[in-house]
Amino acid sequence: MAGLSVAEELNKLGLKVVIVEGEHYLGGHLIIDDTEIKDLGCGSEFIGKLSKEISDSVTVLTGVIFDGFLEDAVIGHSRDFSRLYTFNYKYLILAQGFREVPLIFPGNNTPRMITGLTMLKLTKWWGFKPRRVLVWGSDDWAVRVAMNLIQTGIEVYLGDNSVTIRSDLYRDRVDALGIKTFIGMNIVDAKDSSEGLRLVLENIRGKKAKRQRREEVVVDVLVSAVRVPVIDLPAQLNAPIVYAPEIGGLVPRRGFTGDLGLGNAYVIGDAGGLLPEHLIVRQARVTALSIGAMEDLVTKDAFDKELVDFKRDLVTTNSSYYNVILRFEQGLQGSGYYAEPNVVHAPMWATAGSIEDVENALKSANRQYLCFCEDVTLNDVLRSINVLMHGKEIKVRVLHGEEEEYKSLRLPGMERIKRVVGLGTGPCQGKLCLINTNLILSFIYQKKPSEFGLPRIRFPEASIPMATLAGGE
Amino acid sequence: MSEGRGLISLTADAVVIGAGIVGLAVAYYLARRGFSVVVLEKSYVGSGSSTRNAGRYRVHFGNRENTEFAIRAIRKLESLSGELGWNGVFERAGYLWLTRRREVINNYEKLNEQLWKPLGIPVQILTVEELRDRFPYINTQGMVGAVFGPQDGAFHHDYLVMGYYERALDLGVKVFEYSEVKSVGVENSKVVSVSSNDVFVKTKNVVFTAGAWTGEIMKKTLNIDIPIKPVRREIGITESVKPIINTYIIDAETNLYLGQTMRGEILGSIELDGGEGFLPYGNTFTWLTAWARETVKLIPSLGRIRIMRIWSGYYEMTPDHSHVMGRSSTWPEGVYVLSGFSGHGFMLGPYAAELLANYIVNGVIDPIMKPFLPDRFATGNLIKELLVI
Repeated sequence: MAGLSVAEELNKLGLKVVIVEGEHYLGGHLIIDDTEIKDLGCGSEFIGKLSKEISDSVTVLTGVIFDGFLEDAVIGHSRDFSRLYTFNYKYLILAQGFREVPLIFPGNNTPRMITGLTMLKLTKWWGFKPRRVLVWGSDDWAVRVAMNLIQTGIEVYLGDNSVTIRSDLYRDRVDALGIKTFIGMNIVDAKDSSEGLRLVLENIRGKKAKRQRREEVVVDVLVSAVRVPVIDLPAQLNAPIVYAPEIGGLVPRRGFTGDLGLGNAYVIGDAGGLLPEHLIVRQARVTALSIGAMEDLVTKDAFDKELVDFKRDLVTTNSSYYNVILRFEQGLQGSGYYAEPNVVHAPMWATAGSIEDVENALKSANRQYLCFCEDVTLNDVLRSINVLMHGKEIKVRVLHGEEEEYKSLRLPGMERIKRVVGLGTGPCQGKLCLINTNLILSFIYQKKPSEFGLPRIRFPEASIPMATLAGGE
Repeated sequence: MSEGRGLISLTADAVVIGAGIVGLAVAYYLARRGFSVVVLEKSYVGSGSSTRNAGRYRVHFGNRENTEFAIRAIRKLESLSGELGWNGVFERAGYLWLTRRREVINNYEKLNEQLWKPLGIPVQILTVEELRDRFPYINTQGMVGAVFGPQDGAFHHDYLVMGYYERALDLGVKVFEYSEVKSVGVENSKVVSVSSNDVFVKTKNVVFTAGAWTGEIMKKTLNIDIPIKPVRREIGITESVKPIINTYIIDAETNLYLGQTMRGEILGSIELDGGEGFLPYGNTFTWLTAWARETVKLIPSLGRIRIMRIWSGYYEMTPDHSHVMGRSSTWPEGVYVLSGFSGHGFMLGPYAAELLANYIVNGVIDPIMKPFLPDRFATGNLIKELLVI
């Protein structure tokens, strides 16, 4: 939706726009979302309208994967591998949205865990009809996944180890639709059986919690609706990736216009930080006008006015988002230095919602898979850190992590961890594990995500057959 | 200690600059001989060429000096899993040189008779029919024959780097990452200290093992000219597939090389001209398409196999494509170098490191290292290499 919106705005300004879309359809996850989205109406209808509006004047390449950046070309390839594309552009706008990531809990190596988007496609397009599912995650998207599923007559639970349902926009809808919830609970165990996936859930904060709750539930499918912004291409471009929990975790550092500071590359929509849809439409206009102003297609005043309006709306509706972007643009008190907060919640770690749960969660670390391509567990990673630290004892002080000695302790970076355990070296090249691992480790050790960093994310975005590159000779 | 600008102040018998395979191995063997050692690395351990290479080794070189050195070095390399306690995942898959011109294969035959056979490492010279029979997946069009060296093989670079790292730490070696050497203190023509951005070490010995960066840093800190030049090479890897390629293939004409790792990934590259200097760690479309084109031409069945990741790294080239080890009498006392492996650092480095450590501690120059002393660049007595892969 972000991509279509910005394409429409740029097209209105008279710029030649090409949309490159990896799927065979436009609209991303909204194409299959039949719920009412604030200010936009039904997601799939909104997308249909938008696609129609641009269809005459914008070049649309569907089924084309944008591979990324080489020194002497920017290329892509068709999904059927028959064609290779080289892209020449003046401005590049990355609108890849979010990616749902696997949940981490003991026993998560189950084929019954699938993502929200896949689940919606399976049920709506392919006739899959499970009896009972647990949707994990409680932000806007997760709740809408649950709402979509309950409309198809499936028995739906909604779970998250956050303190409350995180979605401000759709919180009320959960009760109204009769979705049963496991909010403020961890998945502490899971076992596959012929009946389904048996999950054991317990309240967060263990014995310290005011209310003790333990549940067992058997579901056909566990739906992960925990999402992270897609940072692959900004990372390939070497844009700094920083931690901002208010907007979805690790995101490229950029300004209000989505400018990555590289001169010609922008990121908009969820790829630049999770944002409600109605604000993405506004953001698209700001990005388009900033480009328009540079190209002298609109006056600087027109752009400034739109930017001020956008900021004002953000302040009143999503002040935390506004504050984050302001800190991205200006740094700490105008110094340019962005101070990363600590990780107090890694939403994909379904087995530790609070810092008090970590100790208990680590007991089953050898059953918690982080990398599904190479079968790397959390335990493997923790052991590799132990080896890299040469057995030096690291005491995790939960409340006093700021002690001098602890602060000066330098843990090995993700790059070296990767080289010991092979995390992220499989076919997905870390798309499903690197961010998860970084956030979980930062959470466990109470270090800033930038201290672990991310291994270098490299070309290509998706693998390309030799023959496609070799051409028709 | 106030003379160092560093925050951490130490005393050591030797400082090693660079924590790649060579530096870590030197540190480890020095420590085994009782030295206290500090290693200074400007990025992270193994960040240079040690973790960017193809992970292959061979004993077959185009001259006696390197071949004799390699025979001993490979024996050492292949014993490292036991010595380090990390599985180097060694596999002797052999090297296969494909030739497209009669004179090339004649050269190989000559080398085999005059050099390799007498040293006990004969290669097999294959006719096109034999090639087709043993390696049926290769398109032999335009070929006149091939040379197969069964003594050559593959290893896993990351685990060996980690092995040396961990065993060196066991022996009390201190490794500082993100610690870039700024200066080497010299008094009365003797080394007295080494300082980096955060460490100051009082020491009598400094060993330069900075790979492609060795020339640059020796010039900067001691104004010593040593002809080690970086050349960027690109390399790529495909998704894992079932075992198809049972050796390491080098097309002597197109400079294409290809092998399959034990995990099933096909790893390879094509060497194009250029790339001199510290170019960024990027990749080019020119290289990528050339690599894919030649690969598919040579092994048509790889056409549908997908490239998963590409990267680049530096060769550390010397004028005679052979490494430099030891010291020159014109240098301040206590300065040593082990570098310039010209693409063979991993295969030759561990053994060379052991020899150098012995030289530093006992002052003994092993006859095998004599041809590789740095003085050869001043005297012009270079090693002639005919076969660089």
